[in-house]
Amino acid sequence: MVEKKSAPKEKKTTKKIASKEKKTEKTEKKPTKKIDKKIEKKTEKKTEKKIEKKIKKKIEKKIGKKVEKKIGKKIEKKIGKKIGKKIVKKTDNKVEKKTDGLKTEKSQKKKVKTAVSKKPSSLAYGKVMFQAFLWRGKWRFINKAEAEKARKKKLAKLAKLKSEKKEIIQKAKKKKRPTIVTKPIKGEKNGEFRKIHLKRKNYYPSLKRPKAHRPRGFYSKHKRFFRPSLTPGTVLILLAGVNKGKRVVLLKNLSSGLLLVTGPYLLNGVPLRRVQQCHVIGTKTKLDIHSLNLPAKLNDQFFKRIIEKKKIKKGEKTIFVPKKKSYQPNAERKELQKVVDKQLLEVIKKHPQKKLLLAYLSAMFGLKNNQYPHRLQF
Amino acid sequence: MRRSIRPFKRFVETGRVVFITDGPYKGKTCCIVDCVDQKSVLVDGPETGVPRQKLRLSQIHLTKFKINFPFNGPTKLVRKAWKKNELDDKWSKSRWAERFLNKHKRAALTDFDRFKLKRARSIRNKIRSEEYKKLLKRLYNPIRKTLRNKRAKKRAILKKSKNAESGKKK
Repeated sequence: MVEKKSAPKEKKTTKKIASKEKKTEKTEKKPTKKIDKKIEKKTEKKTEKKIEKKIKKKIEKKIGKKVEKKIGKKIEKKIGKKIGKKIVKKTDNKVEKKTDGLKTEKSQKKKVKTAVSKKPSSLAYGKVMFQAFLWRGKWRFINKAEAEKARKKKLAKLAKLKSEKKEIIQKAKKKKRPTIVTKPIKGEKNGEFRKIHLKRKNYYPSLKRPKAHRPRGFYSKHKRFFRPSLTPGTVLILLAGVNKGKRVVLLKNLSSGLLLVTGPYLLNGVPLRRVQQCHVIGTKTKLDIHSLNLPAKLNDQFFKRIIEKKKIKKGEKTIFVPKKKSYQPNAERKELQKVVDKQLLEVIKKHPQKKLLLAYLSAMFGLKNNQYPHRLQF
Repeated sequence: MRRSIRPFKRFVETGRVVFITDGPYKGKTCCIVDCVDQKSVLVDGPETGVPRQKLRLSQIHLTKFKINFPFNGPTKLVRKAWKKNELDDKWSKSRWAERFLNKHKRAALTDFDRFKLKRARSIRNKIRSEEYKKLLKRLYNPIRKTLRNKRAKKRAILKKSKNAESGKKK
């Protein structure tokens, strides 16, 4: 520490010099109890010894009385702390005021107190006056009192600036320009003067104001629109994906804007799945699906893709590219498929053209020569 | 030169029944009343719902039917002549009208209907082709041919023997 190095120089100095040095040290924001002790030792003289003895007795009496009153070691420590704080504060104030030699003596007396009272070393040291903090790998110390002073100065400056700004604004307000100005106009039969609006008006009868946009919320909460042909029970033709060209039955319009669809799986191999309505042609053939009891599980959440994140352990790393796992429906899906298929097939079997419908659903859609989808009716 | 062949049989003339191919009265029949100019005619179809009006010749196809009424005759006379010739009936029975109707029917078929038609056609074609194959077999089966020849030979021998017997008797 810097303080330790400075100590030996002060060995043969007088009281005053010592006091001055203390001042400098304190201005450097590094007053410590240790230094005090050293200085005191160096500047031992008869007068001081006498004073010391007197002060010792006084303090011992005081502390002793207090200890007697409030028994317990903890209490004792507390008292010690309090006293230490008071002393340090008082000394600081006096030094800052740039006291004379006499006053320094007084201050020294009080410093002596600190030495004599034998409080724990951590009491007055740093805790009160300094704040330690790590900055760029080094411990730094701030003198609290100094920092507060600086802060107050800053605040004062800011307040000044604010007041200045206010004044400027007020001045500007006072100098408000008039909105309408009358200007003289030359020439005969021109009415001599005219009123001119300096500012744009808020309202003109011919002005079209842009309408405020309607807030629609999140995409997931948008209202979904389905083509009128896509009602539950219609037979659809799939146009995209693995099952394109196949005819399927529409079961439900989901809240996400997708269509819940099934082959049935027994007829054409299309499982329960969701389809975008733009990838579908709705036909006019419709099944009466009201009797169908769809499980409540069949919603958007059920069809969400589950992505499993693989954690490769260190020991298990291989050179070879791992085989990609092909999709396989889980047991739950298979079970639901069976439930839905059974009901749907019953509905189909009740249709007057049952045989043809079964064949129709299991057949693929295709275009022949001179058939154009935009001219066809579905 | 009386026998000379007329190159055209249908003319733009009063009383010529006409099929409208374009405009708001598309698909309806009417008959020409008068020629307005080289490109357009006056037309009237009181029985088919076509009001008396001018039509461009490009909007019109001429049919083989013709009725008789005086040139520039009023709607009353046109109707009378139309009814007298029973043109509604004649037109609906014509191949033209039939094909026209079928075209519309085909266009109005739904996907399921188209599938059903396809199935019906395939069944019909199967039956037809089987029948055709049978006929072919009967005509060109080599075994049958030989059999037929054998029978013919037998018959010929029998005939000869019969003739011989009868000749002996004589």
